[in-house]
Amino acid sequence: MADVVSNVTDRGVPVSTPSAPRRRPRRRWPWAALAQQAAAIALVAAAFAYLGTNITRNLAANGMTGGFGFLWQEAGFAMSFSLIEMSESSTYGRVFLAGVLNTLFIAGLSLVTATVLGLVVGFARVSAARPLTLAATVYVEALRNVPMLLILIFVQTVALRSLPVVREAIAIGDAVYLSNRGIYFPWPEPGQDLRLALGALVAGCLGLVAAWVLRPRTPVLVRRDLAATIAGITVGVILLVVAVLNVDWQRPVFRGFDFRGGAKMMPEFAALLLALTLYNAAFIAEIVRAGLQSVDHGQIEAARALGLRDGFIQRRIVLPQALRLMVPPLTNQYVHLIKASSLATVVGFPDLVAVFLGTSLNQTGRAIEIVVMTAAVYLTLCLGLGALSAAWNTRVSLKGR
Amino acid sequence: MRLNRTKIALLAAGSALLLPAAAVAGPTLDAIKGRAELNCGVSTGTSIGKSTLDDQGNWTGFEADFCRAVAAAILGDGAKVNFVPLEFKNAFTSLQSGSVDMLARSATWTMSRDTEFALEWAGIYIYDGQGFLVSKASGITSAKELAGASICVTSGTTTELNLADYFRTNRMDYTPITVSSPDQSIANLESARCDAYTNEVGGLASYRLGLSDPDSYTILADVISKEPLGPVVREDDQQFEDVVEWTRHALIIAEEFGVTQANVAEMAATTEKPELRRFLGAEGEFGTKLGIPNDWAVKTIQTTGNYGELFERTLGSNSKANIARGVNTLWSQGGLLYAPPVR
Repeated sequence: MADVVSNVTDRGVPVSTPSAPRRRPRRRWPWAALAQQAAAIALVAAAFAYLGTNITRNLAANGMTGGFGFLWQEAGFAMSFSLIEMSESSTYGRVFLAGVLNTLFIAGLSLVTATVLGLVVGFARVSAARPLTLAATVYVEALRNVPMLLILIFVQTVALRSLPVVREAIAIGDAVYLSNRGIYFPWPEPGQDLRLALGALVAGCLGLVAAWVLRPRTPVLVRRDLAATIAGITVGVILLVVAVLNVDWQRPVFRGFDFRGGAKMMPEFAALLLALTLYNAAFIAEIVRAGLQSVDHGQIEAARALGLRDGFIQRRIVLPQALRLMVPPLTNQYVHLIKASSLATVVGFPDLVAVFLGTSLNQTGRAIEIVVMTAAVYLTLCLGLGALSAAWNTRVSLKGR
Repeated sequence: MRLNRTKIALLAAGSALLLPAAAVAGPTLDAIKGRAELNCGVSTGTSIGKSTLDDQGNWTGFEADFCRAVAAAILGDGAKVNFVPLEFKNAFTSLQSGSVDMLARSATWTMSRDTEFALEWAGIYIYDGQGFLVSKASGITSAKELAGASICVTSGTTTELNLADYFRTNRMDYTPITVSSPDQSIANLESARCDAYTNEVGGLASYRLGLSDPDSYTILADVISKEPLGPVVREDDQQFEDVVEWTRHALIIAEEFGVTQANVAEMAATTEKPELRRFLGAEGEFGTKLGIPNDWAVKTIQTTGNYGELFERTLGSNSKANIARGVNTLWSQGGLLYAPPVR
């Protein structure tokens, strides 16, 4: 670096000296870069043109028709679970939408649960308590080194099928029932006036948010700093209880073949959620541990020497530095989780792959259209996640130097 | 960085486009003769009586034997079959892409499949209908009592659509438990995850045997659909379709004339009945005109026996499934089996 002539202005901004002749870059012909890009685009376009004609020719040779018209046709089959209103007369387009939403639902939910569990296990891995560390190590090593499919099948066949049959469901307080046909729990009675309850719910959440905003931020904790937080939590919790009490809950009641009323979680969904959570949490725990251990222990000791409390040290000194290291591999893990949610088809949960790439493809025979649409959904999800992570990475990366 | 990611995305999408584009080379019949082997798509080997993979690694069952019959007609040897086990959801795509020559795996002939899939049903070899398998302990005696029930069904099948139609017509609600293989459905039924398993009655009878206690389960009398099952081929080779179709006819004609696995060779040599002489290749060029050896029918019957022998051995009274022939008897006995004359 000795030959690079640079200077520092009085404002502390490094600038290069314009007069240095050796610093002037060799002038490149502007069209060289353009030609490169044009060649790249032409190559991609040629590849697409080749694929396009190949498909058209082969389809024609087989006498098959293409097109997306089938999306407006009636699908004629039912789905065991969907977030939007579905019936046998819904179109394939709606089946696609329901499938995408189901995939987002299972992937989103297990992303949250896996992260929470992963954080807990990750912190346990580096904790000072030996039994805790040991338990976390056993968990990580046992789950990380087994195929996820195995965990999924184990959870479904051993854990959930061994629950009692629906007629002999385990009752918890006459409100929640466990059986191998599903987990049943109370749900707000439809058609009631929920304005008061919703108001209390919103106010209660606001109370909790206030508690978060008013949380003590001092490096050294003093009891009176907690007063506002405790008040916020108390008011929030009371309002939430009021919200719950203000709702007429519909309890599941066994009638005929199944429980009626209330809400039900399919065992297939539970199995997938559990398997995705358990498996991915083991990897996330390792990412968390790596992040935490990457922070020089000297910093923690120095902070303790200053009398800072442990929570503050973790939150303001360790985590910000650890996160910078954790986010890229964490994104990888999330992408894996989203794609692995397609194992739904193994247990029989109607996700995008099961209802669209499976049933719809077989009923319509539109292999190319359906494969492309399904791939596009996963590409969008995973590339979107990648872009978010890259943006975050740019924001928090070390600047200057 | 950004450009790179876009390129990767484009390439990934491109390879997705490439997949189903594998071209089909030449007419199917020539390809089969060239490799001296028939690639036949069957079920995954657990359909007792239709296509079963036994513990010796041998394929048995009605549909496996139908593949052998076709191989015998074309190549003169029923052993020259490469059985390709396919899950139902992959079956049609495998046939379209050319990785198998034909399917013999309980595929129902419907109008939309016939017209939109660019596939042909080369006749019907089993006339079946959709029913329900329930546990006796449930006390269900009729399909009409299934309102509100959870029902196991295989994804992407006609039975999934018929089920929806039936419950819609009768204004009953239900929960479909849709999985990709019948084995999973059977496991679900056994653990009472679902109240009933629906499939073709023939399939139900054979899958019932896979239950740990078959006697505590029963098939309801209600049949809610027509399920004509037959061999499926691509539309690109009319001659091959004819061969498969006439293999089916040959099994029926043989039963009509009392030609059996045991007496076919003798009959071919000694018979004086003109139609039988034409059928067994003693007279005329009927096989040659199909593009296969003239003694095709002899080889076929030697391999599998006539329709009656084949059915009774694999699905009927001489088998574990023990299904009654029902409408799968000759037209002359009040059944639906009918074949055009060899003339």
